[in-house]
Amino acid sequence: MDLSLSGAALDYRDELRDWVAATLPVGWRDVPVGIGDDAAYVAMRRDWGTMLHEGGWLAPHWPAACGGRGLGVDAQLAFLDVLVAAGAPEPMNTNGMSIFAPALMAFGTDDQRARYLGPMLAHDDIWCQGFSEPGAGSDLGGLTTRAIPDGDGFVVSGQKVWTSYALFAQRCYLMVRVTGVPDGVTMVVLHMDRPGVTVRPLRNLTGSSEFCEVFLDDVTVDADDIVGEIGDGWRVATYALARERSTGLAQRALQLSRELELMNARLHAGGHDGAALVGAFVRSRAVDSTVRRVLATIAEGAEPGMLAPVAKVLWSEGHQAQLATLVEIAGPEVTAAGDGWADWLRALLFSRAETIYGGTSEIQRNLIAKSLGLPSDRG
Amino acid sequence: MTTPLDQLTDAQTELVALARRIAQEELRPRAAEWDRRAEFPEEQFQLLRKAGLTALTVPVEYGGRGLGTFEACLVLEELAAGCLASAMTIQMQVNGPPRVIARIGTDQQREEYLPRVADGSVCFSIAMTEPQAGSDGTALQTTLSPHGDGFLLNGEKCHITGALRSDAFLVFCRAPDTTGPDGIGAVLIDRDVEGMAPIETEEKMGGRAIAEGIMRFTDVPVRADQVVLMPRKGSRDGARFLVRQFNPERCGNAAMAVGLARAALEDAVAYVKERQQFGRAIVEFQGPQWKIADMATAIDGARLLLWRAARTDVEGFPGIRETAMAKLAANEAAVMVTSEALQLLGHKGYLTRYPMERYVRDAFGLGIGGGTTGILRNMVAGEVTGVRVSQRRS
Repeated sequence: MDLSLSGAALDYRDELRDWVAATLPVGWRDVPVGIGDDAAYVAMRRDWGTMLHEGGWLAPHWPAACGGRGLGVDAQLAFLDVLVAAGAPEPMNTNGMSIFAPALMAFGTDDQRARYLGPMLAHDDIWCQGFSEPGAGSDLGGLTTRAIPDGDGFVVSGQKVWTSYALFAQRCYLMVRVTGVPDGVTMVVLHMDRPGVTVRPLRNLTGSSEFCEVFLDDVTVDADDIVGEIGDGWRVATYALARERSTGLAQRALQLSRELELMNARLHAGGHDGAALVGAFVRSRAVDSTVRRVLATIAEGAEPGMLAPVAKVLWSEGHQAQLATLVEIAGPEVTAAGDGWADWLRALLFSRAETIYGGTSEIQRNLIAKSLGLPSDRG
Repeated sequence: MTTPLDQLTDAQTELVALARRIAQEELRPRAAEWDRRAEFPEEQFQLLRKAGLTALTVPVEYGGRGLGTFEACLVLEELAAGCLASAMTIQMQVNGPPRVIARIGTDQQREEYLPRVADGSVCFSIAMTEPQAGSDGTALQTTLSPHGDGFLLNGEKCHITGALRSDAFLVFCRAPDTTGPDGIGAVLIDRDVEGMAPIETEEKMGGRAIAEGIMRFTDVPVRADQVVLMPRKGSRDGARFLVRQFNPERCGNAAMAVGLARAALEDAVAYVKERQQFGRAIVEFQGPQWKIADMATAIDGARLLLWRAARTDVEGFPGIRETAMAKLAANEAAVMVTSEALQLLGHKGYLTRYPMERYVRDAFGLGIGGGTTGILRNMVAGEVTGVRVSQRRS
């Protein structure tokens, strides 16, 4: 497995590094995920996405016909490395670009790719994911949002939950169950401005509301917004979820090492002994290496398989442990959120979501167990 | 099953039943509201006061019930299982400065304060931590200087739990021209005295209803009869006492951690039995079962260590080694159990609509206040090896 960058990716990386150094506003550097006022945070990430798009830097590994540069996946790794090293935020559409877009390229129509990928890259359309439901979280196959055939399209009713940034989204890739079709699970594109779509923010542990409930009450979905075949949605979703576990969370995972450097510097500045961070350092190197192996595997045209859930578990649980260690060292300075520690406190609280979203740690372990050939617990 | 290790007397059983009833019927339904408002839960405190819980450890001759650390722990676990903030209102009275006054205060100090602690008409906080003296408690700089017949107090204190509501404070200070463990003492200060700046507060992650205060003293006059422990240059008695007097509070902290963890476990157990995924309740899966087993084991282990510590109570102060072990185990159990319980509840655990996220926020603070888990490890290691290494740079 070759973890090094190709010549084209190296050139791309060097140019991007110079561009980011000259372009990224100082106030946007090292803003932890999920920080602060949601609208302002979303605006920052959206503007950053637009700037990257206008500079021609987004999705370098996408085909040129889809708006990319036609480079290898190693260029995407270079993209992530540059952003992480600069402390840059994730572009707002990371979710759509890294999870849904690959599925659209694999299962969608030319017309759908032409309509959606450009505005997604330009950040004219923000995308959210309509998978989880109150009764279908880890058991996604238990979804009950119904799509009743109506002419060439559907009328959709149901409820989605844990829908990140739905309040700010124009489009949603939505899993529904089409009535009258065996199994019937189907992936569709939902236009969030259609009548019958109601979004309610859910206040969470951090005090912010990035996760939302989405209520669908007789919402129309057009026939040309069905992605793949009717009843084949599970295959589309599985493909998308595999991308979420592998590339979708890569920037956050690679960010772990940088956060640790910042944490160490912050502790030293406060006169604290950072020796207890050694364990966190070891974990962060393991996360970094595993994420790079995942991307290298994809670059070779293979599926990462067990490596993707391994990376998710290592990163999400490692991040929680890293931040818990910070609290042990700096104590009340962190929990009282004083003297510049507020961002760290919020990161600590937000990290509790990281072992839940994108598939809980328990589900990741099931996937690992399945890859190892262990018997299923599902009976 | 009850064993000799966890046997209670009839009176203790009755006390637990009383605290549990109040906690579940009166405290728990309103816990989220106090947390959201970040206000002292006055109504709850009044309820607990009327139930006689502020009088638990006050000696009988001063109007109290004369009970010890063990009974205080039994009550605090129950209260914290309903509402941590409400439990904290009692913790400072039953395990805080009044214990010090009862043990080493003058008769005049006992008569002045203890009956009022017992009837709940005076609330105490302890003013120990300073900006540069947290885990390194003997680095405190607040100074008590002779002045006429009395003294002047100068300095700054922070992270004073419940400061906004308290009527009186036990303030740790030092004699002039002393450093480190040399020359430490303590005085009693009423709120709003001359020279004391208005108390400021800090927002915090958990225990939000019980504000953390910042107090600044500028030439605050202190009478000789307000001195509980005279700071004397050349004496380390104050520093030794400072370490010991924390033990009841540490036991109380551990009890609240156990109670908080228990509440999280009970909520999680109810949820995994109710939540259906893959066609069955998720309690039927091995993964959640193992989590539940680890959580329950951590709670029971911490409680047994705590009860051992509380039963070493000699003259009002439990043993250092036993107390440090108990608080360490309980604090780590609380963080682990609440975190795993949140994980079991999935996104419901993460939302403010449900209490689990509050349990998680509250748990972290318990592992910091009254001695961080790191400092506790140092203490346990010192007790086990007999080698007590100063963490201070020489």
